[in-house]
Amino acid sequence: MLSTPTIHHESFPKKIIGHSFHELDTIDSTNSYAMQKVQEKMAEHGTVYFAYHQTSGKGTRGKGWESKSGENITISMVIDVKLLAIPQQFYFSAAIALALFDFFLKYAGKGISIKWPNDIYFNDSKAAGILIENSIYGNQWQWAVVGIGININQLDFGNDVPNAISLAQITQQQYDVLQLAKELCNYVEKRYQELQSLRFEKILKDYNDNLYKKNMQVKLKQDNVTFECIIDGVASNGDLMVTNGLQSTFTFGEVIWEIPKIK
Amino acid sequence: MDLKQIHELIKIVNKSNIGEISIEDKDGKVTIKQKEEQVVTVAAAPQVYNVPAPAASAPTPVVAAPVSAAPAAPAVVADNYITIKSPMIGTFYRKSGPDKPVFAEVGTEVEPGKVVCIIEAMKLFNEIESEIKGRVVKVLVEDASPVEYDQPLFLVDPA
Repeated sequence: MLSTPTIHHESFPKKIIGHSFHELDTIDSTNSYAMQKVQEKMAEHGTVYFAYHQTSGKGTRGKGWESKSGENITISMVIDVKLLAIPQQFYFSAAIALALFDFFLKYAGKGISIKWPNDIYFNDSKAAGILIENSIYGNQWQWAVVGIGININQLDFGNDVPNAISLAQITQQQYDVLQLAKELCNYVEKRYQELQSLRFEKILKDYNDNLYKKNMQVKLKQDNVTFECIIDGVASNGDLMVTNGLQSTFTFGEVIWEIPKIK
Repeated sequence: MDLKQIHELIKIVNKSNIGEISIEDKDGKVTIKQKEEQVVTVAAAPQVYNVPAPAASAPTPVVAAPVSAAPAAPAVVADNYITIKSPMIGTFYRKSGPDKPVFAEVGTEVEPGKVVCIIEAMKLFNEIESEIKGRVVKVLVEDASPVEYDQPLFLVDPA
């Protein structure tokens, strides 16, 4: 047992993300399950919870994440973020989005981009979403639970989600979902290492280089007023920067993005 | 008169002590009325937390005292209560979802590690844990409202 108080936590080499990979048959939500481990002080960096079936998958605040049983990746990763400060949260979010982007680049190639702040798009359709929940003690960011939902083999999304697309629909192939989930862990690990080396400028540049609709005209809606503007990029605090808009920057939640309906 | 001019006019009236103003031109007439309390109470600082006696559950009297900005407020306020402050800019939520129980309300015992609220920023959901042990005597921010860095969120009696 380690009892010497002088040993600092960060001096240990960290285990890689996915070293502990739990397959769950049915769970309400992998993120809720992982957050519970964090609250019980049972969290270990790199632990991953993969679910074949989520009964109440979480999307952004109150929105659900629907996924057909076994056809898609629904996974949550417990990540130690004590090295990062709270004002650096956007870099973390961007790094995770880039990990998904890297993954898609390998399998889907052209047409993949990151939609602000952290959805993965293939052309104008959403292929993956990210939900990050954190635990903060006082001013110290302790843990991040990264929930990732990726549409893999599903071929029918119904009319409720007209903008959804799966990897199978993009490539006309079916995949081994569990295998891809494990591979995804490696992509997240790679970007996490960039965060650990404090390569924030690289992360922000990579993010902006692959931003959905960068330098293009889009429609945004604020307080029921729709306006057109040009997407310039995203700032280090996560604000969207635009030209010719009602404002020059927007915080997430201030505007709704009007995506053209494609189906 | 166009929308921009009307907007400007509203701003001016807001800052003033004018109760009602009407302006008429060839296009029509615009009347701007100000809510009465706005006319009477000039610049009531919203962050003033005048500590009520812990037992009193009566509505807190809003006292428009001249108080400096909230972030400069000391951690320890009257009666040795301690504030739990926001570690970040974002939106304050008292529960994890619309149908979930609130994390902490008046009377809730908190201790280090107990989640007291969620602050959302840039689609990241931050569960804020208490660093202190005690009993919540006042919730200082309304659910789903924006908070600033260092803004007091809860008043705790460190019993």
